[in-house]
Amino acid sequence: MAVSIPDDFRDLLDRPIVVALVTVMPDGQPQATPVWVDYDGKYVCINTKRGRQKDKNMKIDAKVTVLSIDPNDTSRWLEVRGRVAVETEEGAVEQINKLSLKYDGRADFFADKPERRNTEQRVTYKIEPLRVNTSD
Amino acid sequence: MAVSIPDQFKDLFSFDRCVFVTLVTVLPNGQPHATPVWVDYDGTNIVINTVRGHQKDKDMQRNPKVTVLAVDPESPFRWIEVRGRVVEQTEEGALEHINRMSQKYSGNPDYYARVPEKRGVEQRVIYKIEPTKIAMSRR
Repeated sequence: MAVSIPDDFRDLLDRPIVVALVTVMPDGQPQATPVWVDYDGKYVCINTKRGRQKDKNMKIDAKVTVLSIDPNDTSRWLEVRGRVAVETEEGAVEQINKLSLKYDGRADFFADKPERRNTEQRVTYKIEPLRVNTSD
Repeated sequence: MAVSIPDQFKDLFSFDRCVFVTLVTVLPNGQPHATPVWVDYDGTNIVINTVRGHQKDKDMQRNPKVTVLAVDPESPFRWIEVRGRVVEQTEEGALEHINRMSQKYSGNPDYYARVPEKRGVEQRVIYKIEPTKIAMSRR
């Protein structure tokens, strides 16, 4: 059953904190990468590139986990265990630009990598939280 | 097959830095479980210290496939992912080890000074993780 992110830990997804996204490889080994993230009130949203390992691992319903640690106080953290609920290319460029603005201060993600513009396909993944662990 | 941590990323596991890494174990239902942990490196294996009965302890006893992600707190674009397998677990020396880790991360050589209610109550355990595959950022 879907759960919400507790209000007093939402900042760990709203602030520009690079989080760990964990997917599972076909052989069962966890795969962890640092990613940009945003939270739309229901889903934890990730943006990646078609063909990346995490793209291949994130099938609909796949079990994935996100860990965000407060850089100002490492004893404060949020673990979101969830499932991939939505996968879409629609609006994925707009979303990566929004994330780029949040994390990097640039509204155009491809501004400093023009060779990748229009050559890579961005994908949005929405993760439905099923269980949340927090610590402070 | 075992692989080595590249020299240019060893600082993320060293006693000169105090990097909180993400340890990922796998729950019985296949869901990844991620927690921030203190980390140590013995030149071959990544060394984690936890408590008997904690979820990650149970996971690592059941499933040796674990993954560690270390991100440079000074530069989030610099990171290393170590996929590995648990090759050893021991309670021997685990208390001394957590005290050394406490010295490293908090400057206090007595780990239980800040959590006296847990002293003598919880059993510490050391896990050694042999790196089998490494991915890292370019820098």
